[in-house]
Amino acid sequence: MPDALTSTVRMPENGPPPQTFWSRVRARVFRPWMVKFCASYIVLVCLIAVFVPFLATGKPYTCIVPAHHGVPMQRKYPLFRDLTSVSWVLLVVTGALAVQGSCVFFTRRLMPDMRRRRRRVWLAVVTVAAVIASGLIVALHHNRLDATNYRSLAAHEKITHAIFAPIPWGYAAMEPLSKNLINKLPSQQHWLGTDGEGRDVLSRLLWSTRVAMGIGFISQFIALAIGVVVGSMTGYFSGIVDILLMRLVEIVESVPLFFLILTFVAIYGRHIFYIMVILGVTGWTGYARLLRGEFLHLRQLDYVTAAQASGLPLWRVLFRHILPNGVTPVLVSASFGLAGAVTIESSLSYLGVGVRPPTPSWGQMLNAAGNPATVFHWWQALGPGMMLFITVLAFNIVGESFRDTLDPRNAGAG
Amino acid sequence: MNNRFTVKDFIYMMLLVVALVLLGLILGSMNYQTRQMVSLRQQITAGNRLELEAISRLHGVAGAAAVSNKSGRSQANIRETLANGDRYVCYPQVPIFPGSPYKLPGYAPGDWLVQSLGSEPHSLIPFVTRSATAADIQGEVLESLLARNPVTLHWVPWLSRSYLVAKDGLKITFKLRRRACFSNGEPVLASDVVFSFNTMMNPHVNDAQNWSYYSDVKSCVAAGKRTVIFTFKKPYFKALEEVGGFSILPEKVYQFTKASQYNTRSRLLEGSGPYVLYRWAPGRKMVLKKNPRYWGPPPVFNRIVFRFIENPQAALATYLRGGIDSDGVEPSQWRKYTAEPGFTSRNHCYKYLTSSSGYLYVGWNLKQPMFKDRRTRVALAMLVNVPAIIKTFLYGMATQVTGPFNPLSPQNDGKIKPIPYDPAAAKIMLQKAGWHMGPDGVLVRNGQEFKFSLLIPSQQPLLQKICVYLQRQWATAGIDCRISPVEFSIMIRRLNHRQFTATLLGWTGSIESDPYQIFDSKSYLDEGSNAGDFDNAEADKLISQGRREMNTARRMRIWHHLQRVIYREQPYLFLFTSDSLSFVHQRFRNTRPVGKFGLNPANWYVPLKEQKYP
Amino acid sequence: MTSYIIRRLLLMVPTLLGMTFMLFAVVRFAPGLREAGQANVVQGMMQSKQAQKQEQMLVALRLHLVDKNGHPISLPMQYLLWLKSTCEGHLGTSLEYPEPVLKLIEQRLPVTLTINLISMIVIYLVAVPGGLLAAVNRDRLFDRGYGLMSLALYSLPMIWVGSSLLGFFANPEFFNWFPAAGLHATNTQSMDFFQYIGDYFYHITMPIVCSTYAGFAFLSKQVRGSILDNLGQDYIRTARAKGVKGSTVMLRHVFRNSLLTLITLTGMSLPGLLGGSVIVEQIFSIDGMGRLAYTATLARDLPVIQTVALIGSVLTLLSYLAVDICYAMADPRVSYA
Repeated sequence: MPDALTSTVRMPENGPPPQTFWSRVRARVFRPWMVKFCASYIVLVCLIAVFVPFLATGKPYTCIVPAHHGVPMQRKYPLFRDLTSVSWVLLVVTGALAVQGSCVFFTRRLMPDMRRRRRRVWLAVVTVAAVIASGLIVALHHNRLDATNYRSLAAHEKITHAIFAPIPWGYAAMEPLSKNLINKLPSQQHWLGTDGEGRDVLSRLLWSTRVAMGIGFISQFIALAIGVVVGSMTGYFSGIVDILLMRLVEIVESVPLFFLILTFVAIYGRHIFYIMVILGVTGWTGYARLLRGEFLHLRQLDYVTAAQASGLPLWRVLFRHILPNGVTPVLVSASFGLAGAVTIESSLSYLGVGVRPPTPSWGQMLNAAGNPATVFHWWQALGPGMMLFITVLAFNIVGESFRDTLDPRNAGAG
Repeated sequence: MNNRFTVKDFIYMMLLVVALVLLGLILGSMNYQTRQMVSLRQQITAGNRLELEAISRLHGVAGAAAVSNKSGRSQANIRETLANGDRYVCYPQVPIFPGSPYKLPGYAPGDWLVQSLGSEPHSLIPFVTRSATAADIQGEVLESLLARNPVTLHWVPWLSRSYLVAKDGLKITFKLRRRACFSNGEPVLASDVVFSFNTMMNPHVNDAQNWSYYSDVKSCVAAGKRTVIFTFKKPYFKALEEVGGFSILPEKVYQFTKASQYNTRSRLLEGSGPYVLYRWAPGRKMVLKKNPRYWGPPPVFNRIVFRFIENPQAALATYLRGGIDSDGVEPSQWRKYTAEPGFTSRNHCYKYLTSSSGYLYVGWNLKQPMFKDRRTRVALAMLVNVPAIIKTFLYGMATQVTGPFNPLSPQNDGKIKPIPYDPAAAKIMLQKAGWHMGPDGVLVRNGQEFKFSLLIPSQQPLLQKICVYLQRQWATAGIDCRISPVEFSIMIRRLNHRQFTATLLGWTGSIESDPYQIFDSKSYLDEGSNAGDFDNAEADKLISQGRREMNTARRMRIWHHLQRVIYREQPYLFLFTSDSLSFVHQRFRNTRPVGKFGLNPANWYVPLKEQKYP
Repeated sequence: MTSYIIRRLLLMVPTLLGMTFMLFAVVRFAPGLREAGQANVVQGMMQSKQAQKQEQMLVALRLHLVDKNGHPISLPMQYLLWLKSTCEGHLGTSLEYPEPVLKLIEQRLPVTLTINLISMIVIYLVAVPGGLLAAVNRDRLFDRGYGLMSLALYSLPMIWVGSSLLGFFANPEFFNWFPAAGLHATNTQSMDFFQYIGDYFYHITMPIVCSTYAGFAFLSKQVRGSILDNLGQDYIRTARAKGVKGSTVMLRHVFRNSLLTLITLTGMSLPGLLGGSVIVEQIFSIDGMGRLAYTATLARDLPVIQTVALIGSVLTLLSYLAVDICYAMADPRVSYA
C-alpha cells in the first residue's frame, strides 16, 4: 500500500479522471473528519484574512450624504474607497486562485478531453494577469487616511441609509475617550469586550489573522525555496559542495534569531515584512537537512542514472526527477513549520518586538491582556489564545495526517 | 553474565547522577547565599563587638537633641545672612525633620521593612551605577554633606555641621560634624569628602553623567581636618545642591590606585548611613541591616529588604500575600483595589505628587519643515485632549503640565492655563498655517504631505496607549502619524543623531531643574539634550540670566517668564505628570507622606505588638 | 570509524570560525552599539545628561573598537582580537553590569539548569509510560486519544498558558494559590532544609507546568514510534513464539531496545538544558539564562550576547557531532563518500 504511493504514476493524457500520486495522497490525508475540519478551518482563517476589511470595519459599505449647504445629495462608498493596497492585492490573488480552481474543476468535469497543456496556458495567463495587477496596485494605489467616525455621523443623521459591516468596528477604531469604553467586558455591542485603548477585541482578533497567516505562509515559502535549493545541491553533489554548504547550514543555525530580528528592526524600522524575511532566511536549515538525506539516498537509484545518461540538463534532473520523489518529508515538515512560524511571531509580539502598533497580532493582544502593568483581563486573553491554539493545532493535525499517510511506518520521526 | 553492565544499570546510573546534580544545584543555590552572607558579614564583624556601646551612644544622640531643644542656648540652629552678604547656616545638632517618629506614642524600633524593586541593580558602585533602583539602595547606606527639609525645602547641614556660601556664589565652605562616622567606625573627615569628590570627577572612574553638572567647580580642598572648601569658576544657582548632594565615601575602604579597581567592586557599598549592606542574593533580593554604629537619629528597622520583582502585577500579588510591605502600584491596580470594600481600611493607600516625578511630552524635531511653524505645533496640541487621557488611561491620577517644571516646584507658574482641547479651532489654525486637504485625505503644504513618524520606546504600555490615541486624534485632522517603537538604546542613538521627526518621551523632574540642558540652543550641539533644536533668543537669554542669579525670588520670576516663552513656542507638546501611588501594610504607622518628597520609610515604625520579623 | 570522527572534528574548525565570524558580524553591525550602557531608564523617563565621551571610549575599548591610544582598529583586526581573547578564555566584561560575563552566567546557570532538569524528569515520567501504553494499544481509543491530547498540548501557545496561569492562579481576583514571581520566599534563612526545598518547589510549580506540557507530545511520539518499530522485528516474534509472556516481551525486549532512541534523544537535548526559555522566565520573573540573553539583547550588551550565543552554538555543534557519530555507527548503509 505505501509502495504504491511512493512511485510516481505516469499520467494518462486523456481518459477518466486521472489518479495521480497527489490526488491519492490528498484523498487519504483528508479522509478523517478531524483533518477535514482542520483543513476547512485553515481555509476559513485564510478567507477571513482576505475579507476582513469587509467584516470588521467602522466604515459603511455605502451611505447617503443628505443635501447640505447647497451641496446636493450624494451616495458614497467609504469602505471601497479606503481599501488599502494590501487588501486589494489579497483580493486580486484570491480572485485569481478562485478562477484557477474553478477552471481546473470545471474543465475536468465538463471537458475531460481538454488537453492538459492548453489548460496550463490558461492558468498561466491568469497567474500573470494577477501578478501584473498586484504590481500595478502596489505602484499606483495610495492608501487613504480617513479617521471619520461614521457611526457617530450616522447617529447624528449626518449620513443616512448607511450599511455597516457585521462588526462595525475597525481594528484601530477608538471612540472618543470621554465615552470611557476602556477594558469593558463582553456586551451586545462589543461581543468580546474592549481592550485597554477602548477598541473592539473581536475586530482586532479577526484582523490579526492577516499577520499570522502572512507570517506563516510567506516565511515558510522563503524557507522552503532556500532549503530546497541548498538541500538538493548538498545531497546531489556531496563532496566539497556538501561540506561547504553543510557548514553554512551549521553557521546559520548558530545565529541568535531574537537578536537578529531586533537588529534588523533597529536598522530598517519595525515592519512585519522584515520578520517574515528573517524567519524565512533563518528557518530553512531543517528543510535543507531533510532534503539532503533524501537526495543522498535517491541519487544512487537507477532511474536517476538513467536520466543523467539520457543527457538531461542538471536542473531538470534535480528538480523534475529527484525532487518530486524526495519532497514529501519536506512538505510534511513545512506544515509543522507553518505552525512554528505562527508561534514564533506571536511570541515575538508578546515580548514587544513584533508588529508596530496599532496593527493587531495575537501575541500583542495576549500581552495587552495580561500586561504586567495592568490587572488581568481574561476576556482579552481568551480570544487570541484560542485562535492561536486552534490555528497551530490545525496545522499540526493536518501535518500529522500527511505524515502518517506518506510514511506510516515512521510515524515517530522528526 | 551476572556482572554484565546492562541497560537497566545504565538507567539507574543516569537517574542517580541526575538526582545528585539536582540536589547539588539546590544546595548550591543555598550555599551561594551563605557565602555571600559570610563575605559581607566579615566586613562588619569588627562592628559587632562595639554594637552595645554604639547603641548606648545612639540613645545619647536622641537625648542630647531633646536637651538642646529645651535649653537651646549655644545649641540653637543658625540660618542667617552675614554682614558681608555671605549666607551662613549652622545646625549644631543633627536636624530632626518634620514627620520623624521618635516622639510618637507607641513608637518602637524593630521589625523589618520589605520592599520591592522593579529591577535588580547591576551594581552598587557609587557614582558609577546608573539605575534608579541602585539609587534607592544607596540612599539608605550613603549620605551627603547636606540634606533637604521636605517641607521648607531648605538645604540643611547633615554630615556637615555648618556651611557658608560666599555672596558672589563662588565659594562654599563646609565644616563637618564631629560625631559623624562611617559604619566601620572611622570618623568622616575632610579628606573623605575630597576623596569622594575626586573619585566622582575621575575620568577613569566609569562615571560621566555627573561631569556636566560639576563642570563649574574649580577646586575642592581640605582646609584642616574637618573643613572643606569648594570654589567655582562661575556662579551657578545649583552649586550648593551639587556639592552638598553627592555621596561621601570612606577613603580607607574605597581607596584605589587604578580606577579599574574601583570600577569592578560592584558589591561593595559602605558609607555613613543608617543601614549597611548585609546580603545580596542575585536575582532575588538585597538585605540591608541596621548600622550598629550609626551616628545620627537611630534607624527604626532592624532590616530593610529589597526584593526584585519586575512584573508590577506580580509585585502587587506578592504584596497582597504579605510578601512585601509596600508597593508602588499602577493606576488601574489602584482603582481596582481601592474600590474593594474594606481595602482602604486594611491598607494605607497613598496617592500623591512628588517633586521628583517627571513629565511626559511629545517633542518635535523643529528642523523639519512641517514643524517649523508655531501655529502648526499649537494646532497639534489643540487636537489632543490631555484631561481625557489622564481620566481614561490613568484614571485621573496625573496632573496636566503646561511647561517643563514640576507642578510642586516654585519654578512652575501655576497661572498659565493649558492649551484647550479644540479640534475645530485646530483645523482653522492648520489652514492658517498653510495646510490644505490633499487627495489622499492627508494635509498638504507646498507639495509636502503632513506625514511623520513618532518615535517611542518599546516595552512601555502606557506610552503605547497614549500614542495610539494621539495617532487617532491627529488622523481626524488629516495628519498621518506612524508609530515607531524602538528599544531605548536605539532611541537614544536616534535622538543624539537627530534622526527623528517626533518623539514621545519623558524627563525626570526635580525641585528646581536647570532648563539649560533641554531648552538652550547651545544644547543642540554636541549631542546635547535639546534634540529638537529649540532655538529661541529670548529663552537663551532668560536661561543664562537665571542660572547666574543667586537670589531665589528673582530667579523664580525669570523661570516663570521662561515658562511663558516655552508655552508660547510649544517646542514640546506637554502632557502630564503622573501621581505616585502606594499601598503600605497596615502594621506600619506614621506612613503619611510629609512635604514634597512623597513617602519616606525612614519615618515609619511598627508598634511592638504588631512586629512581624525579629 | 576513527578516521570519520577525526574528519568530523576537523570539519568543525571551519564551522566554528564561520560561526564566530557570523556572530561578530551580526553583533558588530547592530546599531546602538556605542550608546549601549548609556541608557538610563527610569520608568520610561530619560534622565537629563550631556554627551558622554569618556563612557563611549571605555565601551569602545572593551569591544576592541579602539586601541589604548584611542585609534580606531580596522574590522578584521577587531575580529581577530575578539577571537584571540575568546580563545584565551577572556569572554569580556558586560557593558551593563560591571562584572565579567562568565560570572553573570555562573549566577544564572544553576537557576535555569535546575528548572530544566526538573521539567525534563517530569516529561520523562509522563511521556515514557504514555508512549509505551499508546504503542501497546496501537490504533485503539487510548492511542488515538493520547495522540490527539498530546498534540493539542503541544499546540497550546506557551504565552497564553503562562499569562493565564499567572492571571488566574496567582491573582487575588481569582485564585491566589501560587506566588507570582521569583523562586524563594522572603525569609528563607529562617527555614530549615526541608522547608527551603518545599518553598522552592512551591515557587517553581507554575513555571514547571508551563515548560513541561509541550514536551510530552514530542517524547511520547518518539517512544511510541520506536517501540512500534521494534515490535515488528523478527526477534520479538521469536520471543513470542518461544512462549515468553506478553508483558515480559514488552519490558525486557521491546522497551529495552527502544531505550537507545531515548538515550540519543536525551543526549541531543542536553545543550537545550543550559538555555532557558525566554518566555517562561520573562512571565514568571525568573532570573535565568533566557532572561539574561533577552535583557542583554534589549540593552545591546554585546559581550553577553556574544558569549551566550557562542556557548549555545558550540554546544549544539557538539551535540550534532555526537548524533552524527551515533548514526554512522548505527546505520552502516549511510554513505559518507
